[in-house]
Amino acid sequence: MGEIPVIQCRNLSRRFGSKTVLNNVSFEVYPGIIGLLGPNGAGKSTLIKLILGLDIPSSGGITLFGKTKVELGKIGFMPEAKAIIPSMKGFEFVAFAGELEGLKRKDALRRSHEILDCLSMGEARFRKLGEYSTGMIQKVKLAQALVHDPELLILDEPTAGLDPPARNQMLDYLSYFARQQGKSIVLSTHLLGDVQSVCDQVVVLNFGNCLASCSLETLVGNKENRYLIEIAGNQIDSISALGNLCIGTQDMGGFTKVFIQCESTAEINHIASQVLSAGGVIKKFIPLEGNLDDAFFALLDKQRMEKI
Amino acid sequence: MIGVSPVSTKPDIVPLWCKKVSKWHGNFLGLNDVSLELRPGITALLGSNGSGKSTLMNLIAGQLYPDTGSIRIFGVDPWTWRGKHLVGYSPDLDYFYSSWSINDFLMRMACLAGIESKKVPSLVNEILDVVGLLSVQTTLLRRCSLGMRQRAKIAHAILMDPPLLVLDEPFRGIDPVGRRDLVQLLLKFQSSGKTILVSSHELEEIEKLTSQVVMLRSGRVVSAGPVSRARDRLLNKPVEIALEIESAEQIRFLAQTVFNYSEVLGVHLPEGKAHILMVLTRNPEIVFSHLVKISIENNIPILRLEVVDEAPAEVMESLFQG
Amino acid sequence: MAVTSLNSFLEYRPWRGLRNPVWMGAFAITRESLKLIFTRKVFWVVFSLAVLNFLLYFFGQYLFFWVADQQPDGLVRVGGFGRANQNDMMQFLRSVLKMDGSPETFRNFINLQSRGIIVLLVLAGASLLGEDLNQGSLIFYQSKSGGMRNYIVGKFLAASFLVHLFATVPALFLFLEICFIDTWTYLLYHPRLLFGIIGYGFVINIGLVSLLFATVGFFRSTIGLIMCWAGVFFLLPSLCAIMIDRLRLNPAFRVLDFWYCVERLGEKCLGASPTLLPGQTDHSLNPWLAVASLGFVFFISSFLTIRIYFKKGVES
Repeated sequence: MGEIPVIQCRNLSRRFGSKTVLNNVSFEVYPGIIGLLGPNGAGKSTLIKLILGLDIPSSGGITLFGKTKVELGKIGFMPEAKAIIPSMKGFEFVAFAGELEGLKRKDALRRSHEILDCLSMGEARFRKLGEYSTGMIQKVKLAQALVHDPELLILDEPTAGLDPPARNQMLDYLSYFARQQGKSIVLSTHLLGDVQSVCDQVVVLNFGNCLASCSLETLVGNKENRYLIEIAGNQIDSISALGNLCIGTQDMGGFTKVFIQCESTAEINHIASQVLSAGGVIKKFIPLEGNLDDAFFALLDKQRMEKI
Repeated sequence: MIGVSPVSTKPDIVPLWCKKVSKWHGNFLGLNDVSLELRPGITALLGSNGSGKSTLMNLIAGQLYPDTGSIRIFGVDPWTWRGKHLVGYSPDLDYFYSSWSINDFLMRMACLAGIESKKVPSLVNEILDVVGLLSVQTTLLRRCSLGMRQRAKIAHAILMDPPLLVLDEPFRGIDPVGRRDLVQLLLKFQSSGKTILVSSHELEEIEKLTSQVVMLRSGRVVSAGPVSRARDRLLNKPVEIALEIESAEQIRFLAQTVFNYSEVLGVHLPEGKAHILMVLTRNPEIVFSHLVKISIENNIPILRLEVVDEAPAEVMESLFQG
Repeated sequence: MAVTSLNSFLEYRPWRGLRNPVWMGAFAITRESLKLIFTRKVFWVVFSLAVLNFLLYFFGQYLFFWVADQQPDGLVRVGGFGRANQNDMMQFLRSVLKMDGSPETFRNFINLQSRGIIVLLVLAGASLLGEDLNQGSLIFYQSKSGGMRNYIVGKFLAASFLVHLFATVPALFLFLEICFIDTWTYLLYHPRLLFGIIGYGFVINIGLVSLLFATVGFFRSTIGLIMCWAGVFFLLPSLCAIMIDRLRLNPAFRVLDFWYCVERLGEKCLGASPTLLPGQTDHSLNPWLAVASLGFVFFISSFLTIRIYFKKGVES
């Protein structure tokens, strides 16, 4: 990619006294949705504060859009904390956020309504924030980050506490703003599924070290010649028919997940027919794609091994 | 055999047996005529906020008494002290005595539960080891991360080594590492023969644990059993199968051949994906075997064969909506 | 993509308009904080008491100048109670109520009004500032362009607005009233009074608002705030009274009494003479000590404010 990196960190460190929260972190990420992953205490929130300019690095530096000094109003931030004013109405709150970013009052109100329309917040915008459900609060928080039309959105746990439909909707909005409106989004989350479904690039932090920063495909990768078959029916016979091709099983109650390894694609059909002739019923037959969970934990384990 | 089934067997041999259980909160009907039977293994309890999940869990744990109907855990009423010894409960709220350490908390809870004081320290150590908190047992509860607190709650739930565990939202807000540890812990309990009822909003975690699901909505059981059964019952729609093969040339031949079978309701080729054939059917297992047979006969290597079904997601969506 | 179906008619629109300078955001914060205060019942209770007090002084002045215009030694009708001597009434209004347009009038008036401000700030101050700290909303303000500077300035303006609404503005009205009913020469003879009123207003403003910032930041709840302010405004005066009147210690110890210092400075600004009982000698505090006391509170409070509001967000 010949583009300018959205965020570029060079040897970034942050120490509080003797405690090192970020240790020599270097990475660069390009426009798109960037997943920021890491367990508790990995230094994610410190990194976010450094990007926002709320904190000063002990050493090293950050450039945003190729510049060391960020232009005002280029970043929108959605905090993890509830961070709302309960007695304000939804649209007032969003307009207020706009005014804090320097929009004129009338512009701010117009933008507030436009964005709430866009996030399909209907009449709820005229109610007080104190009466909102978690899903609505998250939407209002997203709206207040977007009101001044920033180029970079930093979202801290936007899907926390949401039920599945609200969560999918939030992820849909994120990919809409990234793919169709050209925003760059940094998504910090504990839910690896969110990252896998919307992110292009991933930055993994642990104990203040940057373990990986690359595209999602590079991190996850495909596992060569491994397949997953879900077998119902006569499971025991089917599995024994596969013999040593089978490298692992998991009982799911009613059906079994079978992981198999085979050398060539020609062999696959043979495997399938063996299962069928043994009385098994195939429910699913897919190449085993690497998933983010495995890749993520592999990184953490690798770091732990290096430490020992 | 893991599973949920409609109430049939005698109540004294199954881990959990509910019959026509209702519970009112004032005028609000929290739980409406719920009949349920759990078998050993993990069962997920799904439903939106206010669907009665927590009420049901409280009833099972003996924290509430049903207004009508009855609940039995191995034939014992959970409202009695004998019943309470058979069920471990981890509530969704975490109001702890925040100035205690994990160890203090468990020690005191063990004493309150009536365990002989001589045995308490060794028992607590053992349990801390099981939940993986042994190395951090002196941390104060207010300094614990959410994952550690969840595990402390589970440790409290298994103090009496109950055969039935009831866990309300154990995955809420924990980080990926804590999540993985918790999944492994629950799978360990499952393999040791415990019965576990767990509620969560995060379907990925549930998928890793089990396919047995009890769906609640407005205090009623919508469906109990595998997710696929719920799908068949709630949405009467044929499913689509996606078949991916190596070479795009043979895809039309395959489409023509498979269309001859009576189970196949429709075939189409998605635009822009030359290797993929979509087959519409009500009986995916049989069509799977037909497809495998055809490709073996014609020597067409299959790359991928799966049911592409948006319906379970739709079921979940409507379950959680509103 | 699902989103297009979510709201295909109302697409997101980019926005490239003219922006206000960043510091203008502070006014938005002021406006929204005042709105918040105006929705509180306690504001309207205190406000109506303050209005009553203002009316008392307003008509008191009026009465004084009207009585002064009557026949000397004549009788003035006092409601249904009969008639009073004009001289006696003048005496009463001048020396007891002090409603004669003298510096003491304004001092007493502002002192009374500031009691109202204290009650208001102690009860509504937590909702003005404290909830942001408790709910973690500070990060919301921090992440905006203006950052914490705008937040502090905006909230400071809001609290100052309340102070001046209750003290300075009505006092200036009273001054104007006297100009109208007496003669405009009043203005010429008492120019110091005009500046004194404004000066006293700012002394209260700086004293109370800086104290509010620090104490709210420290205690974060209305209860804590009430305890702390009760200490400052009740306990310290009683302590000083015991030390000076009973134990006969040096009157300079009054420097500990923060509120006394504020009032003493106000007195100096207005040029009013301290209230003394007959036979009492003037033990008033040296005004420079009062300035030192106020300055001490201001600097400690500012230090705490900066520590709490600028640091907290970064660490949490």
